[in-house]
Amino acid sequence: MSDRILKNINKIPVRTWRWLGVNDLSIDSKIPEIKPYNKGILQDTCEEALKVIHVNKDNTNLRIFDGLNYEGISKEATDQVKNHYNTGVFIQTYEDKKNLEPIFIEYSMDKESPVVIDDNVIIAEENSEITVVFKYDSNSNEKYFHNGLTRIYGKKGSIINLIKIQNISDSSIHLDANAAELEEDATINYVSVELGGIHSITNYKADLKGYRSSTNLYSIYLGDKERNIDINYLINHYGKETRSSIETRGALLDKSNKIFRGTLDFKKGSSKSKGQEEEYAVLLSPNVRNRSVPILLCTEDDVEGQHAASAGKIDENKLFYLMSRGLSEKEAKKLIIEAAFNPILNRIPLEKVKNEISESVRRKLTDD
Amino acid sequence: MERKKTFIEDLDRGFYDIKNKDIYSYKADKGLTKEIILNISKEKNDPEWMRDFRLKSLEIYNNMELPTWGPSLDELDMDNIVTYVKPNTQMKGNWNEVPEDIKDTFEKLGIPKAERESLAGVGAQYDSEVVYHSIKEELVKQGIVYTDMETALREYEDIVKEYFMKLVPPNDHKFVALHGAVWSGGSFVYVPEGVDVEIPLQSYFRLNSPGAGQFEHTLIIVEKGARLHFIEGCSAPKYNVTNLHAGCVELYVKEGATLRYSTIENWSRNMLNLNTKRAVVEKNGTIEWVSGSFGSKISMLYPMSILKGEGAKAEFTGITFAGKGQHLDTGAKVVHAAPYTSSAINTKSISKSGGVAIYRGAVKITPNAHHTKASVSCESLMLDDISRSDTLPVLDILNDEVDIGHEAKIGRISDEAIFYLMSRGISEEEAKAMIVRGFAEPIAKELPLEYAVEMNNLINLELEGSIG
Repeated sequence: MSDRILKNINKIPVRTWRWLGVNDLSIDSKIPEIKPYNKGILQDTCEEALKVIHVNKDNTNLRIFDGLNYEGISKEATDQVKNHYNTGVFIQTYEDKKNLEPIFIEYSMDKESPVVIDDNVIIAEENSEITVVFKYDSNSNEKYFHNGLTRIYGKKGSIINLIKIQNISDSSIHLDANAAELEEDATINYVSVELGGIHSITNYKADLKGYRSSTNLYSIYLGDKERNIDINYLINHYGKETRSSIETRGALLDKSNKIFRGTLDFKKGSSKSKGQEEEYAVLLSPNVRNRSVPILLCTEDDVEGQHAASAGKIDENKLFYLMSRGLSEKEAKKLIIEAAFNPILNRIPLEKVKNEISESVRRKLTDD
Repeated sequence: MERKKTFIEDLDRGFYDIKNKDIYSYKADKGLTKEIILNISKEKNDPEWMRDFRLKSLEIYNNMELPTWGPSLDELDMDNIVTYVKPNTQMKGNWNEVPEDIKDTFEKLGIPKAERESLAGVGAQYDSEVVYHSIKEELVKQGIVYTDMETALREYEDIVKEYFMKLVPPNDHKFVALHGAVWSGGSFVYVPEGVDVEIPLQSYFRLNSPGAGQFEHTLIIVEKGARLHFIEGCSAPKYNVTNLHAGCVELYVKEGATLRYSTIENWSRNMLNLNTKRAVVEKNGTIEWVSGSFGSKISMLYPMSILKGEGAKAEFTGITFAGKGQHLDTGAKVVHAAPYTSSAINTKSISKSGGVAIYRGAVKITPNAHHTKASVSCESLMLDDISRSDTLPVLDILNDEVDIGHEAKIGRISDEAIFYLMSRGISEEEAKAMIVRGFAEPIAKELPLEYAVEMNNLINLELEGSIG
């Protein structure tokens, strides 16, 4: 495998000055050989109300999305998933089925299975609701590679809760692309928790095609050591009265580096739509680099779009208050960051996973 | 319920569109060759170093590619642009001596009247050369220099050589390289240490010749503790061929000095306006930009402030109004390169009748610029659904002792606000015009009075009797 796959990653929809280095990303790393991934990925038994299948080469269900115009992380990365996936899951609900137990899918990397190339499909039939939790992690400090693609189709009135948690080793590469298309009144709530990797690269595109379709995105990231966090979100408002919200929070420590790109695109015809985007980065070391590119594109007058991005040190009043109560500066900072992360971590519906992730955040903030 | 859409006719630009006969004493050949550059240089009596600088810039121009972002510049055909048109007159210090047709144009634009009433000095450029320059006697006594660039190059050669295109070097981008090769005209201002120039200076740039380019160079040096307000105005009549404006503005704001640089640009809609403006600000100095972009077919304009000294400040206040056939890609850049620096960018944009208004910006905080504050606020107003409005800011922060905020909003005139005003007996048209004026108000109040009036007139012209 060549290293071509890691060029032109996470391109923004409109380019700007080159010297800022935000138009796209190239990373200098070779792609390892793709070995089979033979582990079971479903962590709970599934209910009768669902069709859940492991994907394999003969699985034609995946082909239904081939027409979907989605470049993903990059064209090459997406082609790699489509042509060389070694695992994945296909999930489809039945019409009108709601209140299902969350589905928990875990991709865990180790010496035997150091590469995960997963192709996932979620189809929510009309008026159904489903929650799917994906967790990517590793059990040692080796260098692993993950490249995944999750395609989602929300039919009329459906609700999809997608939770993606990434906590792989600090030297690993993580590429995660997600594309959703929504019909009338369908909603996708996407929670993204990015904690590990030397490169944590995520991409989300939602096409709000149906009348009153909506998406809410909540994400947190933690940059420590020399982590590079690269985010690219694109919400396309096509339908009338569509709604979107993006809320991203993160903390940057040590020598971490982050690029956030978030675009709300109000297409002609998306009248009475609303979108908002908010990003906040807490900077905890003088050696970090924090780049934000919040974009609004608009060709329709009857819409409301808003974005805000801010960055700075931790709130000194809060810090002072906690320290006056006897906490050390470090403890106080840790507590403030945890408090900022909690509303998003609380969206993880599985108690055990949530506690494990909270613990991991705490540990990363304590490590020197 | 289908909502009513706003419909607005194309703007009648009145006196801006008055064309004079294309009379000149020297006109360069179309296109861009070494020979043409040498001829311009000879015609202008350049010193040798300037001639070499032009040739070097041409070489850079030829080796550079067009920007990979922003509006398409496909229609720009340098082979058809005349880069130097010398008007048929020498520069005058007495208004009465300026040739009748040229004088007439500037009279209609209100330049001499403004001079009498509220300015300390005036420069007027017609095509490639400055035709009139004056400065009040008491300012000269204080050591203030305000003259055209050609005179400056002769009389203050050392200063010009020290500063000319040092802040904006020709290899910065393709159109700056072009500027370096063919520049002509523009103003030179030198304000000595501690001098406070209480009333503004103004330069007005008028491009009359069809298919020509204007490449004026403005160089302003405000010494330690001094203050200046400089106003720049630009316009041209409309022709069916493409005109090009690639000016360059270099502003040096020294320790504790303050410079306010105001522009109202109303180029005609056959103009490609690819202008570069940059300020470098030393310790505790302040640069204030006020920028109104109304004209041109395509604009790419992003004044940049480099905060080089501790405690330096930058403020940018801008408004962009894109109508039919216009693609205005404007914004601001700030580089915080020293501790305790601060900046504030406030922009408003309005698009209508298929116009495209883009805010493009960048704020960069270097690793040593601790205790920096920066805020960016962009608001866009869409007046119909055939126009376009995009906001594309970038924040790049390499330091943790900072306080940075950015916010942007996009939307239409709210029905509630119109309904409220109508319930008070105001007609729908007037209500909309009031709201647009109110939207532009924060910018208008930063402008000198006559410019604020001009801006309001422009907005009224755009909206009058055609909404609903």
